[in-house]
Amino acid sequence: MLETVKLTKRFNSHVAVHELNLAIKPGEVFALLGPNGAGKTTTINLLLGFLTPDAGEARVNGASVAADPIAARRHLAYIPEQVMLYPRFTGVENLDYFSTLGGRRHTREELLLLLKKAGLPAEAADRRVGTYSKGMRQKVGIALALATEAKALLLDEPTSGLDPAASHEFSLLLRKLAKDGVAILMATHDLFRAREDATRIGILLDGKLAGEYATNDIKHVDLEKLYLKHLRA
Amino acid sequence: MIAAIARKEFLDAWRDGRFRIAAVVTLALLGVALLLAWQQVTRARAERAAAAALERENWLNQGEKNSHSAGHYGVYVFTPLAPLAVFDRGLEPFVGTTVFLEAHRQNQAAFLPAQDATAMRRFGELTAATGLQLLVPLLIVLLTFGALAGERERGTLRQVLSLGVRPRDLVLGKALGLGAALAALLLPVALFGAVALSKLPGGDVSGGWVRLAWLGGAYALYLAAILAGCLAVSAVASTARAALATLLVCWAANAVIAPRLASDFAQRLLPTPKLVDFETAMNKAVQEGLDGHNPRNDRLQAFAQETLKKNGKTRIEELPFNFNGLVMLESERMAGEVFDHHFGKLWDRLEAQDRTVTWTGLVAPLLGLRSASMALAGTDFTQHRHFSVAAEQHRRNFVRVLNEEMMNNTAGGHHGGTAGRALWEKLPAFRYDPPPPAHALRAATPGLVVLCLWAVGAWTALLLVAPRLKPN
Amino acid sequence: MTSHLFRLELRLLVRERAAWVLLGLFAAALGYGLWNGGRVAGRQREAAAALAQDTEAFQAQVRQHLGQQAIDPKAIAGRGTMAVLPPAPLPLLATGQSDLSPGHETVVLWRFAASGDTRSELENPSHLLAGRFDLAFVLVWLFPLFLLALVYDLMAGDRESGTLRLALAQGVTPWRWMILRALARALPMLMLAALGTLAAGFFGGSGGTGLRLMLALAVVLAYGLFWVALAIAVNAVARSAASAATSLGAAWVLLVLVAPTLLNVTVETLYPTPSRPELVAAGRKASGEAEKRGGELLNSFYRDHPELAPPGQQADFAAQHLTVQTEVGRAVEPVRQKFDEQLARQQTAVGQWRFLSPAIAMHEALTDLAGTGYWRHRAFRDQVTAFKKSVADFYTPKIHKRETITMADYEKMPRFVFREEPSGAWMNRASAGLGGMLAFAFVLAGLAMVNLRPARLGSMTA
Repeated sequence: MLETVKLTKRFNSHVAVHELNLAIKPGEVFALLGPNGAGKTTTINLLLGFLTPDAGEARVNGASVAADPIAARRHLAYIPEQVMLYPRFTGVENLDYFSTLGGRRHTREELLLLLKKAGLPAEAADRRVGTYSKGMRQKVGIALALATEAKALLLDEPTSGLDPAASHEFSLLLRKLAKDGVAILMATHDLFRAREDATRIGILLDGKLAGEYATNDIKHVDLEKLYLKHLRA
Repeated sequence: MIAAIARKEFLDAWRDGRFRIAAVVTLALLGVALLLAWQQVTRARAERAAAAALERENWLNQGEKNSHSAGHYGVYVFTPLAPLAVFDRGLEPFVGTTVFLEAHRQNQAAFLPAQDATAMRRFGELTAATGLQLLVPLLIVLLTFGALAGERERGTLRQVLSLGVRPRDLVLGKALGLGAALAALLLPVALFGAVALSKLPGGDVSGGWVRLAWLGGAYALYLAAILAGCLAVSAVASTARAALATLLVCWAANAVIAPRLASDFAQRLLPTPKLVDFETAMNKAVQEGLDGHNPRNDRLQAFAQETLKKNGKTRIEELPFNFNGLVMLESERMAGEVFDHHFGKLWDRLEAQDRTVTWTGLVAPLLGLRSASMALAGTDFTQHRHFSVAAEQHRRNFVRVLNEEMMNNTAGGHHGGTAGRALWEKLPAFRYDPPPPAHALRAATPGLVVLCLWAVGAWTALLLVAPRLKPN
Repeated sequence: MTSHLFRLELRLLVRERAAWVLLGLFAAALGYGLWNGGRVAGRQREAAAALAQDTEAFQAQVRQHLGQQAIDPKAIAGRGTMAVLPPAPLPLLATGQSDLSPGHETVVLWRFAASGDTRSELENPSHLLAGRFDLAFVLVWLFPLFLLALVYDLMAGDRESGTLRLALAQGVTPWRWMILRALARALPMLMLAALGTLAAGFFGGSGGTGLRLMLALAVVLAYGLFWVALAIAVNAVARSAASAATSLGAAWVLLVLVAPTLLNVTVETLYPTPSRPELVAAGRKASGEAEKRGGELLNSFYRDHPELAPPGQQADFAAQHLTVQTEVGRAVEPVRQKFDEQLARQQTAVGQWRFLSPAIAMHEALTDLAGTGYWRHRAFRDQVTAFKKSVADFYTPKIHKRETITMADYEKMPRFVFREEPSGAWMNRASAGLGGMLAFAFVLAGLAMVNLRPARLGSMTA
């Protein structure tokens, strides 16, 4: 579903992503680990078509992103670290607006149901989002992914700054989405969540994939050691 | 898709407290401006009508006197005030209100309303027109500066684009939504203004509705161009703050600096003659002929010879009419040629200056709009000139009637005889028919062309930058 | 510490390319305004000089003529005496109303009441509408814009980006920090404005205008300080640089653009001047009536002034015409006075309400100090009115008694000499305006100080 083939992106002389090969199938949760500046966000931007690659290709659902970014985005849902919403709109209105932009119209009842599925408290749905917490905004993001029936989800540091309870709730939602057949790419620093939620883990260093592991093969303690080992190498 | 985006922008704008406050203030100012102008224009029109009636009385009751003295007694006529001055007073405060029509001379309109006002008038006038020209663009700046740049800064633009929205659709949707928010604000004012105008005595004359419709079109073009331009800036600016700074600078350049600079520029390019030089040249031409080689006395001598020949007489006393009257007629005719030439040249020059300013509107759209607006409201210079020409025509007719009276009904050799009310009544009161909307439209054409170019240019620019909308 | 901080702020400013562009543009605007104002002033000076020369030449002619024979007073009174307003003391400062208000009037004995053309120059009305690009325009309109462009973000941007928390964590007093920063950033612009003002005196002032110039300088600086104080007050509460910029922009629009026009419509609605057309028509009516009663008027005049009756009571045309015109003048006088009164009321209202907006106070003060505003012209018109009376007093008896003018009368012939207003008058008006602006600035600074108390600021940085 999400695929990169020798994907390369340079900024001036600096190589942000170097011949990266990834393939994430429906139902998979792929956690992309790596220090700041390793190229995680650039990879996401390339998959979204916000950046055009210098070499190689990013593919969504088998089609090149660069060739038709709009079509690619129709299959994607994107949840950044901070889900930014229009502060003067309520949660439902935001969801309505964004899902319409994504090409899906829903009735108000459907929208409320989606928000409920995403775990947003019912009373909050009709409040302006200016008053929302970070976790609540992220739930609207999840609801949006549900609303647009996205086949793939791109997450950029989704759990940083969430309290443990909210973080746990979020990962439950993720797993449910994966079970429903969504391909998920999650860029994160959160080793614990990566091990818990991901089916596979990739460690990105200087734009290159330094290691790739199935989570079934590693325990939490091993992951930290593994990560640090890659860093020192 | 575009509709959904437009709807969201529309709602978002109306939920913005700053926009609501600014909108209320702007609306209040527009309302106050319209009401006060309505009151002032109604009063001025009534005053001028009363003065014209009183002046007619004066003329009829001037008593028995020599018909040529009556020519010197003269008639005062008063510049009309276009009904749409309620909307745009234009040049009205800066052109004279009163023209003295007398024998031998063509006078300019005297007594500028601005001379009977404080210096505050020089800050500009609060009219519905200036509100739409200066304040509403600011409202647009306020509405649009963050529309794209702000979303980019906040990160919502990334999210919106990640959903697969075509950037062009997004930009167009925003333009339509914000335009609709603005229209929702302004259309009621426009309707209110139109109704107010129709209640004004004489408001329906000279194609008031036609003019209003065109005015609406001109302002719509102007505001649409500004809306598109502002969105284009917001689309390319790196931050909302940079967009705001750029737009404010553009606004100040267009609204505050351009009118003065353009006016100076036109003066430098096509200088207005000095009053002394103008009058000297005209007096000289009256005396020596337009070519300067044909003294008046020679021409009148030749005219006398010719008249004698035509009538088959050898001496002036033998003519069957008072030759003095005919000489008066002839010298009025000769002077008329001079006046037509010199005033024509002066007015052509002023109109050329105004046109120059209008074309500099290619740099600052306000100048194009201002010119079109004044022309359509009937308060521009071409319409003042139209009046001045009509007044001069009236002068010539009335002097001609007096001179013919002298020529045909008085003894030869005399400078006329005594005439009375019967003759005064033969001279009709001055009636002025304002030019038809076609005239206004012609005068407004350069301004309208400038506005069309701006609208097309701004929307093209917007559509060109839209596909290159950067998510961060 | 303070001076070091000040220097650092200046250094920051110097490294902003935008600041240099703004300063350059402002300097160019000042230069152009001075040059443009100078051209207008030059033309007016030439015109006034030409008129004065005309008058002198005529006087010389009269004198020469009188050396040979006496002159009929009708000849001189009929040609008229020119009353000329000399060039303004500081015309480069502001063109003001000088392009609208006629700077001269020919006083003709029997035409006091007649109203001729009132313009002294041909002007394109659109040029009058657009206004002049003179120094006053640059100082009243553009100066605050340029100034605000440099100082609109004194703290709001830091609050937004979080650097404010960092800075305040160092223990700096926010109030002092902001003032220092504001002054450092405003200083170059204030200096340019001051230089421009001084240049107006240097290039275009007549002698003895030092005091006017100093007051003008103070007014300009106070105006600048007002806008700086406004920027400080707004920054004390604004949450982002963009919102500070919007608020300051709105303030500029309201104070410079809207307030004066509102004041204008208000005073014109409250104290409307009578209609000129009606005055003209009423004058004609009075004149017609007076003419019809011409003989009767003259007889009653001679009853009141038997000493002026000509030998044998046989009045000539001139005497009769003069009496009629005097009567017309009397009839029209109340309406004419109403004009002056209403205009004076309007002006008084403007004077009182100028504190509504510093831009109004500034504009009034600049035109007043330049000598191109209402007051100097009002003084001129008052003096012309008095002059008309002295012309009448001198020539009327002579015409009635059919006396001639001889060499002995030459020195006594009325001549118009304009006396400038006593300096106390304009000094009072200008210092009131200055005081108003400073008061505004202090109130704003006080407001800012309240909002910058540590207790309040804490909640704003969070």
